[in-house]
Amino acid sequence: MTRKTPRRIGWYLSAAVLVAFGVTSVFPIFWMILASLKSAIEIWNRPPLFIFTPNFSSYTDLFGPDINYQKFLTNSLIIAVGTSALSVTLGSMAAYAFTRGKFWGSKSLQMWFLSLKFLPSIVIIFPLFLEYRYFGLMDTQLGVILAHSTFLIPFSLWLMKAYLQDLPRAIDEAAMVDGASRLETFRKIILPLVAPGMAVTAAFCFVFSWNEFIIAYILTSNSAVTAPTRLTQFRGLEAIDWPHLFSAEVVSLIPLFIMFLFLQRFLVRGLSLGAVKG
Amino acid sequence: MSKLRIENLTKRYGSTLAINGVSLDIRDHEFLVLLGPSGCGKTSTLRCIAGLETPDEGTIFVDEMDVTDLPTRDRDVAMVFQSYALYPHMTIYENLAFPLRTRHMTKDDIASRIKEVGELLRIADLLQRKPKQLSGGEAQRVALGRAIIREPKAFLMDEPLSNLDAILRLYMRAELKKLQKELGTTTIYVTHDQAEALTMAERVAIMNHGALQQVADPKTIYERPSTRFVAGFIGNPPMNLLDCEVVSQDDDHAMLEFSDFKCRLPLHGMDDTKSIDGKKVFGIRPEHIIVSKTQNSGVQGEIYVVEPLGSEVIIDVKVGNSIMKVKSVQFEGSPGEKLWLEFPEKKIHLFDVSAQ
Amino acid sequence: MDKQVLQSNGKKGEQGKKSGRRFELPFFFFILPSLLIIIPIVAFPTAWVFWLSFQNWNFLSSATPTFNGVNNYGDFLFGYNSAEFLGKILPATASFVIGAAALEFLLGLGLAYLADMHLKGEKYFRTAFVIPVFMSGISIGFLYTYIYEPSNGILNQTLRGSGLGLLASNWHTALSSALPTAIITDAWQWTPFMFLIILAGMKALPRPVVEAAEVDGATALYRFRRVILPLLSPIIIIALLFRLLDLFNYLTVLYILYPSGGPGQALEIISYFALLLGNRSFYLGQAATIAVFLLIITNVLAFYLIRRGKFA
Ligand SMILES: Nc1ncnc2c1ncn2[C@@H]1O[C@H](COP(=O)(O)OP(=O)(O)OP(=O)(O)O)[C@@H](O)[C@H]1O
Ligand SMILES: [Mg+2]
Repeated sequence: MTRKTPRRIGWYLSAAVLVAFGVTSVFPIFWMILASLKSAIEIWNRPPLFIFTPNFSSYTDLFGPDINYQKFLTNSLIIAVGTSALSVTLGSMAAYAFTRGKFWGSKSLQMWFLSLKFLPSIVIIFPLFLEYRYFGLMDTQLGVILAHSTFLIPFSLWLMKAYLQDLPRAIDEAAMVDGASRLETFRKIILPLVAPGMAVTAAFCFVFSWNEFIIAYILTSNSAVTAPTRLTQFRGLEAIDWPHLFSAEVVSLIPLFIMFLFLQRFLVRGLSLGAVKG
Repeated sequence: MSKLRIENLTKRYGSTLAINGVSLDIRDHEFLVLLGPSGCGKTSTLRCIAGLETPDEGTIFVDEMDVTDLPTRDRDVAMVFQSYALYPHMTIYENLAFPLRTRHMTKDDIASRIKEVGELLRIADLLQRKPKQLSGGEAQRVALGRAIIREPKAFLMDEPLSNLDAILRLYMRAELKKLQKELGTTTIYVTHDQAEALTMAERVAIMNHGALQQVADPKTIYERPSTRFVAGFIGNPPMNLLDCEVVSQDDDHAMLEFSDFKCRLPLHGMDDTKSIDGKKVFGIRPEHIIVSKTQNSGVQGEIYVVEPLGSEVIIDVKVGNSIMKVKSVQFEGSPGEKLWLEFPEKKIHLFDVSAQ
Repeated sequence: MDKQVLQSNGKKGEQGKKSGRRFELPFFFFILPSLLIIIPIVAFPTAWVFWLSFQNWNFLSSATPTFNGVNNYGDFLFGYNSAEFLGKILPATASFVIGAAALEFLLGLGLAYLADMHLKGEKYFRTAFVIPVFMSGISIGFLYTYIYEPSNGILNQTLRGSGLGLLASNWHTALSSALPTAIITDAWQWTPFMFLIILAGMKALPRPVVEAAEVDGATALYRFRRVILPLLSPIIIIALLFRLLDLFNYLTVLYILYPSGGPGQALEIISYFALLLGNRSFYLGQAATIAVFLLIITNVLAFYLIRRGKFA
């Protein structure tokens, strides 16, 4: 019994620490959701208001003619879906080539590809702005998709490589011996087998593209503005329009929350890019 | 159903020389087994023939056509992988149909081929299953089916039975051999199991360190190993090999000096010892040594260990500082006992030291 | 039956086998489409930034850049900009990047160790804990602007309400607390990253080794320091490198928290500085020089990470 007591205390203590951190993680989001249901005055109430009559008017305003938030949500959706589809397709193809083939310079090329995952967007954003203006890609969904893909093709390559390396080479070699061309092998054997990995990768790409700020902010001005970037427009010269800002934030979090539910099991692998098997 | 010819095949992986100038002729309809210890380059050779690896040097001919630079799918050879490599996302039917679809066969033709092969290999009932739902033996037969279904010019098999349990392996050995006879397809079969090689092969090609040691039928390999390596590799237990020096030689006898005993050896039994001198390796198979507990003209030794194996006995005999293995049908004795070993002259081999 | 098999040989001719060699798509062509997208978007801007870093160009005062050699670099490293760059920007970058990575690592390690003891509750904790990872920097920037608001924000109100009024402060706007506040804000979002990776590593530890240490009578602390930590270190190094690289690109939250620069440059870390330089002063040549510095730092780290983790 005497031996057990300290262990007990340790158990409760550690549980308490975990609960405290869990609450700290979730509370700000909860607080934001509450704020989105408050009036501009209630938001700054002293003491902080936890019990009040929820007011959905900021949500209805959001989809009204003034803000027209659905337009930005649609932009975000098109951009995120387009980026994911493009990045995962091209990333998987590159991963197939890099895991299965060796050609002159393939090692260096792969290193460079992977390093682009960490390319600071601030480095390229100003010249890219000029380039886009020249080619008429400014403020277009396609422009943002291409720029996002530049960062997400390397990411997909990185993740898909981990899935492809887990696939025994004998399987695609068997297909080649059975008379399939390289492209056929990729389409009929490799792709169906790594489809689950592609879904996971696509979901990660979706989240990244949806949340990305600098590129989407600088390369769009009106018609291709994304939902999260639109948030900056709630900041006026004098003050911030908090109720609308928060309701827009909550709405733009919904797709992310869906992705979160789907990706939970794959988080470790996705975040560490296959370094640790999750 | 074709001849294969390999000329001077060489393959390097970085600094490892995986295949070192291998030349090999495989006859039409032949069942050739590539045998050798782990890492000797068997798989690499097979992969070069299949086109999955590009050789650094050498040429590969199928029916006198140079295929060295042809992509895999144009070589028309089939391969059975050690892991079977069935396509996990396809049913067995689709697995069997795949090599036919890549050749644009019509649906009806595919169905009838699958029916024939399914019956031949007794996998007709499994066609709607996925590879995961098969036992090892069934998966093995499907892998074979996928190879034979398109009637390739040659079968390449890389240890196809090594993932089966011992009893199934024995059974499949016979099945496979029978099937190859029926189809008559030229086959290269890789294994590191010498029993498998000797029982299945028409000819055995033995490799070591990437180089071919000997190519011959199983009987010759056993009776007349051409190098010291082959001698020490084949047989269970393998041949006793002892370093010796030929110190003198007259018309029909040679005097061999071992590290701590001498032996007079009549020469006429051997045909490859016309002029022997200098350092040699003396070899005799355990089953050819005659033991006796009473003194005779043989070499004296003492029992070191006795390993009864049921129907036979292996005796480790200490001769000087060396141990010789002797296989005998009936023997009783205990360690320390003195013994005399006789080496029947016709069964003695002498190898050059330099040849590996 | 074998006869049948042999008979169907007759169809061989129809199988469409062409003599000679068919075209085989080289592996390089699987990479080409990616290159077609990436090169115009990366290569031209990068080359342009390099070129511009050797030019003198004030966007407002002159229409065309003029070549001025390595003067931009000289100015930042030795000249009149060096006091700002070497004295403020680099120290701020180092404190922020290292401080945030270290805090997240320590918290992540501690929490992973605790979570590993609670097999049943761990799942719920993890779910709650990981949610912030999915939020955008913009949302987080605004959310924390609201939370840190000095007079009516919930943080200060809670402190005052619970008798800790002394601790209430101008969190992100005060010179002294801006850096720690920014670090904590980042830790709120990204500690789960460290936590998840370390926890996965702990679960993959060879149990016999850990148990052997326990049987040998080692204390929990000793076991942790001498057995668990060394076994985890390869994974931890990779995770830290990932985190460091992300932190060097850290921008969005700062841009929302401080639309026109933080208090006294305490938070003008190199990436943010490059943005402000282009926006604020229109010295594009200088902004490009900072971009080149940033590019060099991140590339060195990235190549080291890829090598170390054997990713390529
Ligand atoms: N892809 C490769 N990269 C580098 N070295 C290789 C590669 N494949 C084979 N090797 C080396 O080449 C040599 C021959 O290998 P191979 O696979 O042909 O041997 P094996 O005879 O099939 O052996 P086993 O009986 O174990 O299958 C070995 O030393 C091996 O380490
Ligand atoms: Mg092998």
